[in-house]
Amino acid sequence: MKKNKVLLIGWDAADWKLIGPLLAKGQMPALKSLIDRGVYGNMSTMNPPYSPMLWSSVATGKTPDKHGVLGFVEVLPDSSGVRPVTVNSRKAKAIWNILHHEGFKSNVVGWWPSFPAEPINGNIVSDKFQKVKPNPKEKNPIIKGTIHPESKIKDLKDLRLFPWEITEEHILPMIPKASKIDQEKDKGLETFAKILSENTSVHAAATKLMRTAEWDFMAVYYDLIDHFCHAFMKFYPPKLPGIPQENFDIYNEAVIGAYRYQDMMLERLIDLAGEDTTIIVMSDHGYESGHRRILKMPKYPAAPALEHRQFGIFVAAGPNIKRNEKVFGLSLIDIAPTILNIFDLPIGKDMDGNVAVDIFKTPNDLKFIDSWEAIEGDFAQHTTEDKDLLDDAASMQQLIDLGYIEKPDDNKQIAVLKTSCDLEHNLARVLLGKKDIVGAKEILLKLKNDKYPLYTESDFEGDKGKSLTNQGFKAGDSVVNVIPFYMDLLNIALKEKDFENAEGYLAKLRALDRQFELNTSLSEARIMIGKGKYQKALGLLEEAKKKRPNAQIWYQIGIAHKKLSDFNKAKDAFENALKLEMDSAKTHQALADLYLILGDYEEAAVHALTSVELVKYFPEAHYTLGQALEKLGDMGNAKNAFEMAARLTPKTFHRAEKAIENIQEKIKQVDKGEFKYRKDQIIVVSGLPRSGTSLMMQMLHNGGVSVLTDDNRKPDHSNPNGYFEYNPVMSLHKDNSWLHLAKDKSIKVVAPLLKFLSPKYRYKVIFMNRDLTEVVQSQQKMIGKDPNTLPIKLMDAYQSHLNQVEIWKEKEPGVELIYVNYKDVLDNSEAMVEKVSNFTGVNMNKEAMISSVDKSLYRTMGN
Amino acid sequence: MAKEKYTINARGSLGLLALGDVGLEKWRKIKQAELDKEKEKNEKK
Repeated sequence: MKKNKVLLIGWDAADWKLIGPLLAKGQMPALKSLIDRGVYGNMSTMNPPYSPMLWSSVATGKTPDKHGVLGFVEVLPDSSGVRPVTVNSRKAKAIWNILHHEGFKSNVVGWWPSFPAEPINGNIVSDKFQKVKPNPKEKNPIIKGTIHPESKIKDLKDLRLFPWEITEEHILPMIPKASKIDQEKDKGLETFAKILSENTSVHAAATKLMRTAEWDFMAVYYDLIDHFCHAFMKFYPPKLPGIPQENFDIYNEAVIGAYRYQDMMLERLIDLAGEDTTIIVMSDHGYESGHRRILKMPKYPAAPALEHRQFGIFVAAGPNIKRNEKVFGLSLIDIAPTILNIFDLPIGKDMDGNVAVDIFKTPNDLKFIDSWEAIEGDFAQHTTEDKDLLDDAASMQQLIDLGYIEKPDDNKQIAVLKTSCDLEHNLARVLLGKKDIVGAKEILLKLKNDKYPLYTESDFEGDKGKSLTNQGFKAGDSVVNVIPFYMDLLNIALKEKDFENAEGYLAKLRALDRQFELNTSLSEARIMIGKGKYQKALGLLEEAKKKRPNAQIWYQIGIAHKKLSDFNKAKDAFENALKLEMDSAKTHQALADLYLILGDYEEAAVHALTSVELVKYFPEAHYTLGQALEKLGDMGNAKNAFEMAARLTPKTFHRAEKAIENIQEKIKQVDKGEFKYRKDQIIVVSGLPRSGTSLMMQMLHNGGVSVLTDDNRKPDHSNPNGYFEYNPVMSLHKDNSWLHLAKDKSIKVVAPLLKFLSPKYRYKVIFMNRDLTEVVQSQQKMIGKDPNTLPIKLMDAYQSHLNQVEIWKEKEPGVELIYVNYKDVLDNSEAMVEKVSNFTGVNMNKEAMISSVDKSLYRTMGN
Repeated sequence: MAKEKYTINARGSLGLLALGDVGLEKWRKIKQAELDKEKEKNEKK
């Protein structure tokens, strides 16, 4: 028997949320046995979470823009119609193609998509094998391309289980009250029999090949859990409002039954694989089982995938796999590189995933080549499209039944047009997931701007009309639903803080479909937050929350409260978001950041750690973790966290770099002085208007520090010695690209604009403090108002600015800040000059600085 | 692994299906044998 074998088992949609309790109750003993002798963790999915795309990423180690599988269906090569996606859409080599080239034998069973079977060294039982006609009177020949090699057909054809063979012994363990089903009205049992028989067929073919064919690598894919979830998750406890009690009583154990049956099949596979085999069990995404289950799906393509959760499962066990350890940060694209590494083969540098080295006791050396695609030779790929492979009505119908696709239009041209648009749209979403905003936007704008035919009255006659009406179309509508394009463009505009366009897309969406009211309220609130209208945003979010609370709404409420410096309310909101969606890395990071502000560093560290455990490629969360650990005094791990943040960021992560330098200094304790000169530092004089900032600028100027000023604002009665201002500072919030001009100089920046300083530089901030009443009185006088009438709102706003400066200072590793009291400068100039000189680390002319102080101005400034 | 004993009847079971090809083939054989028996009985009547 061969050694060093790998068995890859795909469980579509398997989710730890359901598996956890079953493991605890001993109801998934096979999976438990693998976990006990192996590693386990989350498997992060990709967007959009459509299974054929995801499983092709698993097989190739590449994202869908590279492997080419972009949806559930594909356009026929002659553009004469559409059909379920086939292996012909895949443009990249799968693991089994590479293994074939390298002389290894593979068995592949049920992979989605794998039809038509590729002529590999080994056996492929494609995803067409298990699909049979439901009517026992109809024949079910194995069609060409279903199995490779064809000589295996005779061994495998009778291993298909037919739905009509399903008995009460198969049904009752999962649906104990099946006898109460009115099969005239409720087709639940038909669905059950179809899914169960298909998966049993896949399993039977897999076990046959495992027993009888020699192999190095074997991949088996089951859609049992996914399809059971789509059919029966709505009946899973707790009962959702809107689900009839009678139906709930009948079907509430079905999903759990599927998990348990899947585990029984796993037991057999483990048994047949033997202990020398490395076994990987994984899913491509999770599945909502709580309050986010959707009873009424929105009417747009692939809407059922809205119930797919971000995290699937990963379990691996084998001779070189660590024991009983949790692993983090795995992604679907890591599987192919990891398997190549097990076989000691090089990884293509053009693969998007990495080898999961953390799972191994002793990892093989990593070897690389530029690309497997560039290697010529026999990879057992199809070279020509077989003209006999026609569109497959039965498989199309199943995709329609699952809700993954709309019924293709009877007009083939329109069907092709719609499918092409869907695939282009999916490509845009893939690019969005890869943060290629420019590429995504280009596709979406084209899709939005293209002119499409419109449905006419005649399209709404007969069955076709009914089908179109059910899909939400009416005469005059574009045959291509453009709403999803606008939704993505809106999200991009929000990401890019392009609020003008965001408002335009929002208006268009509302005009197109009023049913999107809840979603658009959330988007409108995000626009309001972006524009600084936090109260308005909160109003919208409260309204949306009343209709149907969800984690996104609570998250945005938290953001709005945080912007308003209402930190406790923000904390409550983020915690509420986590109650509804406990594995949101984004929310854990936001909460960690908030705990930092509130000074609870332990809680901050816990949430930041949870966040990076959920999503490894999350630089901001690593950074927050570093901040929390630094505050807790764990300098070593803080440095590691900052370094990870910097490593994961494609562009320079300036804050992380500054934080690493700070930590290194703290660890070395080389410079025990509190402050020192920093190369290229920018001395920033800040404070509220009329708090003595011009005086400090003048002192620095006289002390020999270059000042960045354009002298546009001339001295006047209020500031007879000049303002020392620089005009571009006024628009710092829009453009801070000129800051390099301020290196080794001083510059005046009013307090509210400090947060717009680029993290690229090191700043020495001299923050002028002055009694707030005096500040406001001085301002009132300057603008010709009664200095004794104090505007309370303005006072509150100023106090808020001062509080925010304190928070900003703590969060910016490139910022060092001292407070200098204006009155102390007047009364105790010498000491203050000393303080400023020490802080900046610059040798200044102190006498000249002291002589700059003109106490008579204190009176001019409103006193 | 110790060999387990399964009692197979014509109605089958999830356990049998989970055994894969072997379970499916054995079950079908028993099912067929029972059908043949039934047929024989009916013919005798």
